[in-house]
Amino acid sequence: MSESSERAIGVVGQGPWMKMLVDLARTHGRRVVLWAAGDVEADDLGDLSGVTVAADAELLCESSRTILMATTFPELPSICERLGEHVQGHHQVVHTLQGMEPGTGRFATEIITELTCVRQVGALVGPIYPDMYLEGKPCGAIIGSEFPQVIDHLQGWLTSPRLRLYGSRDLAGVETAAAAVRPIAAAFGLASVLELGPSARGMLMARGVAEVARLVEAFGGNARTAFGMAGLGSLATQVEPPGASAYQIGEMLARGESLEAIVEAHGARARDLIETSRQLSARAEEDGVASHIVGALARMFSGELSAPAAMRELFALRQMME
Amino acid sequence: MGARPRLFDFNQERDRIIRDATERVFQIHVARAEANPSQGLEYLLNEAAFRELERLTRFGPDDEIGEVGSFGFWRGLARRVGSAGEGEKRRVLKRLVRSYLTDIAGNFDPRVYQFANQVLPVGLSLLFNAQGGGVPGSRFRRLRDRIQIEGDLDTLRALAQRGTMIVAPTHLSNLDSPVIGWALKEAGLPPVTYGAGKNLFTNRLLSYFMHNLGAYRVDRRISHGIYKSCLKAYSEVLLERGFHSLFFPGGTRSRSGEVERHLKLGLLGTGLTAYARGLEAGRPDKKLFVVPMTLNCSLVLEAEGLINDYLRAVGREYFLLPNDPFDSPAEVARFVTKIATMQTSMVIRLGEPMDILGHRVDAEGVSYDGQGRPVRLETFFEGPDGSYGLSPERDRIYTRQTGEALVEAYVRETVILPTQFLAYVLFEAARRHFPELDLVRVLRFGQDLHIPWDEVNAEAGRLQAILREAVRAGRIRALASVLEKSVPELIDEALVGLNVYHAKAPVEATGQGIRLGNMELLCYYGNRLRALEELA
Repeated sequence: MSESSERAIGVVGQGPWMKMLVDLARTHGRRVVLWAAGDVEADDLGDLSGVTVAADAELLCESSRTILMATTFPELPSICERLGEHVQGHHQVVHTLQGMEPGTGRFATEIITELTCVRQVGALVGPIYPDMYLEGKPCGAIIGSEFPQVIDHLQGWLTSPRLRLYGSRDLAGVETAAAAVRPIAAAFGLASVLELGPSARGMLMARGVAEVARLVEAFGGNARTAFGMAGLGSLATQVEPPGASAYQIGEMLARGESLEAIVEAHGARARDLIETSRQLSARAEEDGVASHIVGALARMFSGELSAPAAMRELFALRQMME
Repeated sequence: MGARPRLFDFNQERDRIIRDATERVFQIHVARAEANPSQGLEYLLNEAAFRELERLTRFGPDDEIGEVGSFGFWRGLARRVGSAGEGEKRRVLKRLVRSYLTDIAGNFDPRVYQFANQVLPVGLSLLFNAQGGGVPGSRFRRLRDRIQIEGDLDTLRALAQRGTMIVAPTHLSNLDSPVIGWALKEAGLPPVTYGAGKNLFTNRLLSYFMHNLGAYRVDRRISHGIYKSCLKAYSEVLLERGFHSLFFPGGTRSRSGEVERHLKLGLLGTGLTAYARGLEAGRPDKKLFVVPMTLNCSLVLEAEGLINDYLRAVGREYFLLPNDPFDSPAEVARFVTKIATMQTSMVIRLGEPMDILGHRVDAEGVSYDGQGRPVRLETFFEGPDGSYGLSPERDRIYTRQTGEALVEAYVRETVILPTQFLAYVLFEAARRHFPELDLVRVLRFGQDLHIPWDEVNAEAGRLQAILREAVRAGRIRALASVLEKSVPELIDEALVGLNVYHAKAPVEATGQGIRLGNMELLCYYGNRLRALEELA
C-alpha cells in the first residue's frame, strides 16, 4: 500500500458532501480522491484544488481504501456495480443515506454488500448537514458500523474542530433510526400546519422516538440507538422550521396537496420518504410492533387517510403505559 | 481419493499438536492477564476450580484426566490461588492445559480405518438386508441404494487436494458420525477428524473405533474458559496443519427436527483463525474450505427423545426424556432393520463449497462474490498498514457472516422426504382444527383427530405444488418421489415410512382418512419443512 492511499479518503458523488470533504482536506492537509460517477462538467464541481479527481472507479479504488458514498438511492445500485469490479476485501465503504431504497426497502449497506464484495460497511448519518458545516456552523454525526476499524478510520479522518463524530457498532439500529425519524419529522410538519400547539409537539417528540426505538428493535438493532445521534439527534434538526424535506412534505400533506405535487417539489427525497414510511409500517405490522405515527403517514401517502383524520386516530388510541 | 490422506500422518504429529496447542492456550491467557491485570490468572484459575468442583460433585472424580480430575487437586488450587505467585499460577495453568489437551487429542490408526471401511458397510448392509434376505454380493449395492450421496463431488475432491476441508453437517442422530465417515469414503473424500461428546466413548466398541479414527473427545460437562480455549486451540492447530475436520455447527442434535438456524460459531471460527494465522506466516495459499452438508433422514432413531426434550424446553414440563435408544445396540439394530424397508432411508447432500468467509469457491479454489466476480480472500484480512493478521473483533463478525451463509446453504440443500412431507401436512391440519390453541395443546388435543381423505389429499396437493415451485427456484430440494408421484402414491409411501419403526405409531390410515397418533413425532418430522414457510 502506498503512503498516499493510507491517508486518502475516496468520495463518490457530487454536492455538499464532496465540498465539505474538500474543505476538510484543505483545512487539515488531508487527501481526497473524488470520483463524480456521473456526467458532470468539471466547472460544476466547484473549486477542486487539493482534490485528486479519479476518472473512474478503478482509479478511486486504487487510490483509497475508505470510500464515502455521497449519492442518492437511485444512483446507488449502478455505482455499486461499477465499484464492485474493483473493490477488494480491504476496502471500507460508508454511505450517507437516511432512508430505504424505493421499491425494495433495503438499507444502503444491504445494497453495498449485495453488489460488491465489501464487508466493512458503515453509515454516516445523524444531525449533520454539509451545507451548515460549510457555513461555518459546528456539526455532529454518527458512524454506524459493526467493524470498529471503520469507525476508527472515519473518526480519525473526519473529526475537526467543527465536526464531532460519534461511533456506534449497532449498524442496523443506526440505519433504521435514521430512516424512521423522517416520517416522524413529517408528522411535525403536519402538526405545524394543523396548529396543534406545543403539547402535541412534545408528545410527538417523546412518542415518536419511542416508536423509532420499537422499529429499531424490529430490524435487529438496539433500542437505545433511537435515543442517540441517528434517532433523536437527527429528528431534532429536522423539526425546527423551516425544517428538513420530510417536515416540509408533512406540511404539504396537511394542506391537502397531491402526491404528485409533493414528488414534484421534493423529487427523490419525497419518493424515498414515501417508500420508507410504507416499508417501516409493513415491517412493523409483520412483527406486531406498534407503529402508529409511521403507519398513519404511510396511509396518508396511500390516500387512505386525511391529515385531520390521522390526528383524530392517533388521539383515539387506547390509553397506554409509557 | 488420490494422495495419501493427511489424517494417516496424525499419530506421528500427535505430540507436536498437543505441544503447539498447549503453548497457544497458555500464551493467550498469559497475554490477556498481562493486558488486563484486573482480570489476572487467579480469576481464570478460580473460575476453573469453581466449575470443576461443581462438576466433580455432580458426576464424581474423573480418572481419565489424572490428577486434575480429583477433588483434592481443585480444592487445593481453590485454597492457594489467591496467594500464589505469578510463576506458580503460570505453572498450574500450563499443567491444566496440557492435561486437558492430552485427554482431548484423538488418534488415527490407518489399519483400523481400513478395517472399519470393510466392516461398517458390511455391518450396515447385513442389517439392511435382514428383512430382504439379499444375497451377499448385493449387500453393498443395497446400502448405496438406501443412502444416497449427492453433490458436486468432483469439485470437492479437487478442493480436498488443494486445501483443508471443514465438513459442516446438520445433525440429527448419534448415528450421524459413522454414517458421514462411510459417506465421505464412498464419495472419494478423505477421512476427517471430529469432536465427539465424551459420553459416546462409554460404548467400548464404538469408543475403540472413534478413538482410532481421528475423533477427539469433548467433555460437555466442563464449562470453564480454559477448557473451551483448549478445544478451540486444538481445532486451530489441526486445521493449520492441514487435517480435514468435521464440525456440527448446530452444536448438538436438532431437538425440534428443524433445519439448524442458530449455530454455535466457536469451532467454525477456528477455521478463520487458522487461515489468518497462515496469512501471518506468509502462506496465503493455505486455504480452507467449508462444505455444508445436510443429513436428510426418513426416520430418526432418537426422534421421540429429541422432540420431547425440545417440547420440555418450550414449556411442557411434564415431558420426560426417555432413555436414549442410542445406548442400546439392540435398539439401534431394530431401527436400522426397520428403515431398510423404506425405499430411501437417507439422503446426504454435500452443498456448494465455500471459503472461510462464506464465498462460493470453484474447483480451483478461487472465491467469488455474490455477483460472481472473483475476490482475493487474503485482502479481507489486510490491516490498514497492509499486513495480514488476526483481528478478534473483525474476525468475530466474519465468523457470524460465514455462519449466516451456512444457514442459507442448509435450507437450500435440505432434501424433503415423504415422511416429513406427510407429517407436515397432518400436523398443519391439526393446527387448523384448533386455531386458538398453542403448540402444547395442539399436541394434546390433536391425538386421535381424524383428518378426512379429501382434506389430506387437497392439502398434500397444495404443498406439493409449493414445494415444486421452491425446488424449481433452487430454494430447497426434495426427493424425486415427493415431487413426481401422484398425491395418493406419495401418501401411501409416507404412511408406510412413518409407521415402520416408532413404537407408538404417528398415524393410522382408515377408510375415511388418517387418524393422528403420536403427535410429537408428527411435529418433529414435519418441522423439517418449517424452513419452507420462510421461503413462501
